[in-house]
Amino acid sequence: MKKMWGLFVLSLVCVQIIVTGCAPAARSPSASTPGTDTTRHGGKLVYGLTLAPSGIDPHVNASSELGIPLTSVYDNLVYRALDAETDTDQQFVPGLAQSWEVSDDGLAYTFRLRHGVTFHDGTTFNANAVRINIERVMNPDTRSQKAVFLLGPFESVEVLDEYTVTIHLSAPYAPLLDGLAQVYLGMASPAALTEWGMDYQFHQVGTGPFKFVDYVPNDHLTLVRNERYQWGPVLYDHAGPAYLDEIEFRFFTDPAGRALALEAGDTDVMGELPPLDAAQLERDVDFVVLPVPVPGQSLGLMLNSQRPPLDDSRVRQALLLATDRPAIVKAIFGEQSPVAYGPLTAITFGYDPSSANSYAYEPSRARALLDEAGWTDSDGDGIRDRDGQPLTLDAVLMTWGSVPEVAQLLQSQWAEVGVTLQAQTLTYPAALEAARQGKYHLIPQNYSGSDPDLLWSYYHSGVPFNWSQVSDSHLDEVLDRARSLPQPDQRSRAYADAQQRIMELALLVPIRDPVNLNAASGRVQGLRFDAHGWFPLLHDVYFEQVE
Amino acid sequence: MTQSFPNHPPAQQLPGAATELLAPARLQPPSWMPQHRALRQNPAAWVGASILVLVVALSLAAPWLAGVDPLATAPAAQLMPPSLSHPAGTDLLGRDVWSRLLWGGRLSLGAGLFATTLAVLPGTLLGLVAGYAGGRLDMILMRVVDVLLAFPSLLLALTIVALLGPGLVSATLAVGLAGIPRFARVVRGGVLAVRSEPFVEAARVVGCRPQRIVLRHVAPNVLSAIIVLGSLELGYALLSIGALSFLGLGTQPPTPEWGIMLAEGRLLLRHAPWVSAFPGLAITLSVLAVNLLGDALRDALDVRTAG
Repeated sequence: MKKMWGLFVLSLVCVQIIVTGCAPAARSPSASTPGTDTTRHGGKLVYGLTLAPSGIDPHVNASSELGIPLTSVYDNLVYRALDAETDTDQQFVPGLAQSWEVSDDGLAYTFRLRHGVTFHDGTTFNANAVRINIERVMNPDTRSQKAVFLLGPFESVEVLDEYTVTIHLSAPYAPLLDGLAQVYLGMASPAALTEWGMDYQFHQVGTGPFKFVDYVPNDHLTLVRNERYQWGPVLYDHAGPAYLDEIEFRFFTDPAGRALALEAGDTDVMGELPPLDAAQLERDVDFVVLPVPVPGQSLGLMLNSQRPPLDDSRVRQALLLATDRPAIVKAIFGEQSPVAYGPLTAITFGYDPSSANSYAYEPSRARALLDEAGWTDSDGDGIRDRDGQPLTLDAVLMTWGSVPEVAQLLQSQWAEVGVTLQAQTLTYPAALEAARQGKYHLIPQNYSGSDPDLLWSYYHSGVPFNWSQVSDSHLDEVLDRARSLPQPDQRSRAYADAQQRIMELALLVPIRDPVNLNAASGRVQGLRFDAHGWFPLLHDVYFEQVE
Repeated sequence: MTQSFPNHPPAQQLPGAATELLAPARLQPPSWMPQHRALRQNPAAWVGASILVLVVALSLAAPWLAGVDPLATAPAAQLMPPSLSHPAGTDLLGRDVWSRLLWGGRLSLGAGLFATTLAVLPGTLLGLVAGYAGGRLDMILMRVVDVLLAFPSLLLALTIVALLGPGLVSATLAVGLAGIPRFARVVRGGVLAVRSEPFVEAARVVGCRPQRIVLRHVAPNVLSAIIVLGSLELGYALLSIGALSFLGLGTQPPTPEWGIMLAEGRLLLRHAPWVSAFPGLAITLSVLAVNLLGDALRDALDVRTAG
């Protein structure tokens, strides 16, 4: 499922990470301890990954899972601020770029780079390194699955001097900084890229707080502290090298075994726990549960607006009105998960709160709309029909995200208003093929991303992941315009417009805002996650000292 | 001149032997009838038969015993432990596990039986033809069977499901088809053992047509092997269809079936063990019953242990 989220996302932007109700803030004397605190040094952290990625070269592969370890190996030119108030504050903070300017036409981004930064192999980070990294991503031979999309309408990269570099675009593209703030555009050592070529994923060299030691697919990935690290962004709580000596990432792909592994001490941190397991750990004083809301799409079922009877917007609206979302979310995802009201999660930059008012559970209105659309139960079998055809919808499901369980509750709820839902669970490739052929009424979609421009990738006419098959000139116009607007508040307004249009057309049944349920042993202190929701800031993590 | 050919039996013995061998039908065919007593005296057979009868009866009586609709969800009543109103508790969606168990039994047992039939009939036919015809036809058929046997049958079933698409019908077909090679191989072996028996040769000598020889004289002699293997196959089919459903390739939600119920309860094992424990128990008991019965049948039908 993470793989899905990662795939083909062209976007990014803000988020306020709400690490609710848990320990790090409360237990650790967090906040900027100047310099280093030697009592926190040392120790080896074991971190549980939940999916074995097919490849972990951030420039090449798209998995979200790879970012969990590699965010600590690489630094980015810029970082998305953790607590920016979306419209007013600065959304991005300096990383390897000390400062940057955007030309008035929005076509040139010039970065002034930090001096004195070295890669783990001892080579120097400079403008030429930036050029080589970006050119590698753009090179068709790299077959980049994600990073290349983050660069949008990239045209060229120009080295102005040793520490100044400009990225030229062929069209204004506001999400560019968000892309540069992601691990997929982390800065790798040109020397290592040249030396290892296609094998680079096993020999990664960055400038980050931890050095890459080894990676054995499906088994482990090990990092050790970078003793020379002095150039951390302000996101980190402390300056200088990281606290931990070593981090070992291990794979726990079976959800049923994750809480057990944590309790058995096989790992200190674990991601993506099933809701009931997280609730149980929450009651256990030895563990801390860290729910991290994930920006991007809400988990929802896309409604195929081209396929009868869903080509009638009244039928689509009726389905939304017949859906008791709070009941579904509470039963399947537990108390930690917010109900979704629109195509974006509530913590995503540009989220439109007004969509929360649309489509409350009103089965009577749903019935009235279906009657109006000509679907009545003429033969008294409890299922609506029109011209002798029963109102039967086909859902293509996938196993991630508890989608089959959601669909079963939908089956019950929609049966109440006389709609039959038939479901078939397919593997991801088979579902993609079904989506391509448009052979479905409903299909789940849930990609994460921190910029609302992701709506362009899913609702603009003619794009491959437009699974609601919508072709709406107003929506196209707004989405095209929003990605070229320079000011965050202008963009925010445009995306609010887009979200309202999407809900007016009833293009999806939103279910819930995904929340990554992480948990850690109580000894682990200072664990926080970045603005993308998936990636931990491991630089600040330390073990509680046992006296 | 006086030297006789040692390989030829003395001429005067031939008539007697021929009369004896011409009446094999009474000697061999209904070979499982006389051993009924052995079956009845075998306690394992009784246990197996009783469990099986119970499970089948409960499943057939689902409309009267289940009480509530197996598909009726009630999120507010999710994960309730077994009680008087829900004898086997409720699952994540608040559905009654007891009701799903009974209705699921119809599908699980029915699919298992159907898959077994699907393996037995064509498998037996292939084995009879290959074994009796011999020669090139036998060679070709058996090499194909060998190739299929080289794959673990669950893998074969997975491949077939991948081709047909997921669903209970394709899972049943897949498990059935994957069982054909086993039957073909065993039946052919049985046919080979009987084929050159004097009573078959005698039947041929008196001018019986091949179909009649195969069906009347050869097939009854491999019947016991088919019954034994068929009962084991039924247990195997129950397990395999359950496994395919567990993997999401068989029954699709929300249809109740034991394999998919087991899968639905997997993540809840620590919080609501009843959700998967009951379907697990149902599968285990059914397979155990079928295997006990199969074992007893083998003991009863095997001439060597019939005593």
